[in-house]
Amino acid sequence: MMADLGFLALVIALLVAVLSFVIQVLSIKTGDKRFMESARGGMGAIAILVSVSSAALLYLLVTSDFSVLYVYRYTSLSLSLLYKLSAFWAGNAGSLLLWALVLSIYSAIVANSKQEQNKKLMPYVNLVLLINNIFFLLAVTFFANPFAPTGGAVMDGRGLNPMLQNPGMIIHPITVFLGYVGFVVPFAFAMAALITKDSGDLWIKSTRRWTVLAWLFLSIGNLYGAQWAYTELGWGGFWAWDPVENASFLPWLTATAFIHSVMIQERKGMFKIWNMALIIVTYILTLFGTYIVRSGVITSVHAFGVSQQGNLFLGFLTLMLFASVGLLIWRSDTFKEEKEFESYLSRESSFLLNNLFLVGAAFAVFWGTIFPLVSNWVKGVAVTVGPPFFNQVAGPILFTTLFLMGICPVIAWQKSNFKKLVKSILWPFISSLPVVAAVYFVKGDGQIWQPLVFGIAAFTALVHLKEIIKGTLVRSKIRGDSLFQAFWGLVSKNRRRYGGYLVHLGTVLIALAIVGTMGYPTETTKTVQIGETIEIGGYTLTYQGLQEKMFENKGIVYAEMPVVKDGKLLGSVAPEKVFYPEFEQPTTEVSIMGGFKEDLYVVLSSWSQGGEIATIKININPLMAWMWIGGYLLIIGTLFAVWPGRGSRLGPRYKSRPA
Amino acid sequence: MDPVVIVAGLILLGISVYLVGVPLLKPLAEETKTAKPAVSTVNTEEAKEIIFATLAEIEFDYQMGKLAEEDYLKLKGEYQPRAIQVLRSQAKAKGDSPQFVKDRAAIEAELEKELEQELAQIRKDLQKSREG
Repeated sequence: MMADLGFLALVIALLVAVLSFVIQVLSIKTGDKRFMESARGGMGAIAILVSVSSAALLYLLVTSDFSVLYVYRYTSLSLSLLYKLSAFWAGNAGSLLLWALVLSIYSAIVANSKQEQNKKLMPYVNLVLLINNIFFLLAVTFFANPFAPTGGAVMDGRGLNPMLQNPGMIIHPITVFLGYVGFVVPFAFAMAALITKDSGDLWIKSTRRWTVLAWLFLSIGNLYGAQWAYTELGWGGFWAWDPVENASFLPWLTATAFIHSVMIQERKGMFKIWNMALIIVTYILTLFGTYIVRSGVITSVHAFGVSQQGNLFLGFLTLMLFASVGLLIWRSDTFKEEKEFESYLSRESSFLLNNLFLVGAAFAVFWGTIFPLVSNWVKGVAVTVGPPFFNQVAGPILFTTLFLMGICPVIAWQKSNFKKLVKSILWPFISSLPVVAAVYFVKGDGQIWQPLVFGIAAFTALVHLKEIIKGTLVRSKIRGDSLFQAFWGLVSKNRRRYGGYLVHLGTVLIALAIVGTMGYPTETTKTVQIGETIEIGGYTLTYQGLQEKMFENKGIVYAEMPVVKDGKLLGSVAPEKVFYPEFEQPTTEVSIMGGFKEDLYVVLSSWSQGGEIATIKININPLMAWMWIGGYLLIIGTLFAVWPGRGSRLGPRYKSRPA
Repeated sequence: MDPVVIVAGLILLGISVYLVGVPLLKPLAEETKTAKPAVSTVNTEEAKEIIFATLAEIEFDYQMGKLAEEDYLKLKGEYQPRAIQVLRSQAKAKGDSPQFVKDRAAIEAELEKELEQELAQIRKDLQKSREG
């Protein structure tokens, strides 16, 4: 019954979407406000209908209704409630429904928001949103129906893939989708601005929060994905440059470029075409990401597998790409720059440089991701490009961007003075040199790039801290405030800037974690007998044999090992192998003893003779904790920047024409 | 199909028809005149906020040592007249009274003087703090 209701709701939603599209076109042709209101009502109806459909699927999952194929495939009677709920997005059909749900809700909010200044744009914004809604509803209704019947009596389901039974399953997919789908809003506004020849920055101002929040969700999604990979897969790493991982990283890179370059359009009326191109690319990359996951054209651990939907998504992606780029070219004459570069030493030029590096990194990652497709097409053999390519190409580009992050805050808008710039960055630069030297000599392995990156990170962090401290002191002297009052006044009056600084500091910490872990890995794999010790990086672990326990319906085999360092007992680790009744292969549960300096990462690889002998793999991952700390700082900084109210709006505007 | 599903489906269809259809049944409203002063006051207020924020940023960047004095004076010279222009527009939008028209020149001079005094005070304070 619920399956029928869920499917019926989807069908009605699709019909309403098509009808609303027609009504929206009529509203544009006739100018009749009633058609506009009707289309708005239609978008609200779509959101309600898709919500009902989603609620139906959740009900089926929670009640373990195995007469529905999707429920059978991704749940079982023994699965906990939390994972039954998160099974919603475990498969292709459910995740498509999730996309349609988020899209319909976003569309309804945008369509019904009361913004008088957007009156001219809204009909076209709604049109673009409705096109997207129609496509995704079509896809989920006719190509990936989550309510398809199993076809026969079934007592229990296949269960959820054990690797998906991780807290990351609850956060990662939802945040990635909230991010992906969020970019459709600025894209829709951009298209509306092109169609209406509105060359101002209204479309940017109207969608700034949408863009930043979409970026934030994608950041959280990527970070949680990395954390999930780190704690679940047992290989000691957090990012494998898997095609689907890259597919969520690509729009993040271009969206980061976009968030920065729109500031220039808002302040100076420059980069209009560039910003349009960036948001088009970002939106297309979100479609590209979902295309890779669902088509199976590129092998990935994240892919849902080969499906017929691939061509459908490729078709839609191609259509939107050609339509948006065509529109941009057609209207390019209207979007004239209001100002030119007055100086190469200015914040505008440094932002442009930053953009070029970010887009360059995106191109490198994109090329590496699609290379198997290209090589297959050209040579008939799919050549896979692995982490070494991405690390060697994207790494230096991204670390150069890190350096630019340290320069940009000290350069003034419009024109900066070289002597002043040197003076501003002198002591952070000098202070970072001992960091480079310390890392180089302490590590003593002759490698230079890691110490350099540490130095760059130190430089960038010091520049930001100096900006905040100096700004506080200047404000305190001007106004006679206490230091705390001056600090709070400084940051709260310009939350966009100082929220951004906090995000930058978070990014620095993430960069430190990346270079620490990837630059200085320590690893050992040892087969030991009971009573034998393993020594690594000053730690001593003693293998004491294996133990077993049951948890819910899972059998767990674990090796509890005390950890000693410098003669002091630090605690114990207990890496596990977990056996699930529905799956042949056990999963690996890593045991991590983490601290600010490093993570001791222990994996129970295998055993024999009833546990008399076991193979243990141990990694020491320096500075890993700072990735997650940096991530939290990034979240706080972003929220601080976009929280509604004074101080989150852009104030200054440098224009050549009178205001 | 289960009768409950059919009824639920009809309810959903009904809600959709209501949301889409009701606006179409409204009579065609006449365009109403909007109060011009309110809109222009809002726009002028925003313009004032922007231009003063720009001036404040120029001043702040100079005090932070990012701008050379020459560039600072040039930028200030570019945006200060605009601030005065915005203040004039705002004052005019509030009411073109005979008194205003009569005292317009005096008010303009007063505005210019006030702006200069504010900036001079800021420079004075900073000079003092540097010496101190």
